[in-house]
Amino acid sequence: MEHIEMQLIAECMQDAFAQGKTFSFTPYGDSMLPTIQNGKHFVTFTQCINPKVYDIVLYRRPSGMYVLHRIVGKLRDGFMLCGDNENTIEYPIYQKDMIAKVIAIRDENGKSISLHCKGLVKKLWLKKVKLFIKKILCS
Amino acid sequence: MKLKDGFLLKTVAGSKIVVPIGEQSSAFNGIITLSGSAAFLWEKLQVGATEEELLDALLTEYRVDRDYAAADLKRFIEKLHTAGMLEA
Repeated sequence: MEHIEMQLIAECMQDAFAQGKTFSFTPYGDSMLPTIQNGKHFVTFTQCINPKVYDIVLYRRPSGMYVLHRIVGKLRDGFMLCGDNENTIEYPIYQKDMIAKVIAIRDENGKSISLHCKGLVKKLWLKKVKLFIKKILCS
Repeated sequence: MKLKDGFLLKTVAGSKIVVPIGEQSSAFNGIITLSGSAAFLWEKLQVGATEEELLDALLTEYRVDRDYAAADLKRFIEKLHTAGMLEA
């Protein structure tokens, strides 16, 4: 299997969204485990309008790198994002940098996977988010 | 003959590629690379054309033997049919 440049995928997504269509592909990476499994899950995206906390979004870092992470919080300056399998919260991320929002995940057998974070993972996030906000407020 | 809706023809670094979008992206997980002549035919099939019209267009565009072009065209159309890319 040949890997495709994310820049090309992002361009194709924009074209698909301009036609009012969704776009699907199989992402690679471990940062969204266990929700999205490296090279195994087929993910469907739609345009990222009105993103909300717990949405999984594809966004572009200022470095040009594309990342698929979950919104774990929102503060005045922007959104807080973190991979389900990561500890570091990225902040602030702006809506203008969010290219697409995940609307469906399917496994190799076509079985639908829940987009929602599991209970324990969610609890850990809430803890991380609280610590992060505390750090911001204290700085 | 006409291509189904939901395929995006793009030029990337001089190469023509087809990307499934919307419902088609659920059926085709990947990107298709087209040769120059296949991309030429693809563009005609996006608006719709008969096999004869496609053959005539190929012969006008490329310096190629009619029988050779007809055989190639047949193979290409069969591939599209098999992949379910053409409207019924």
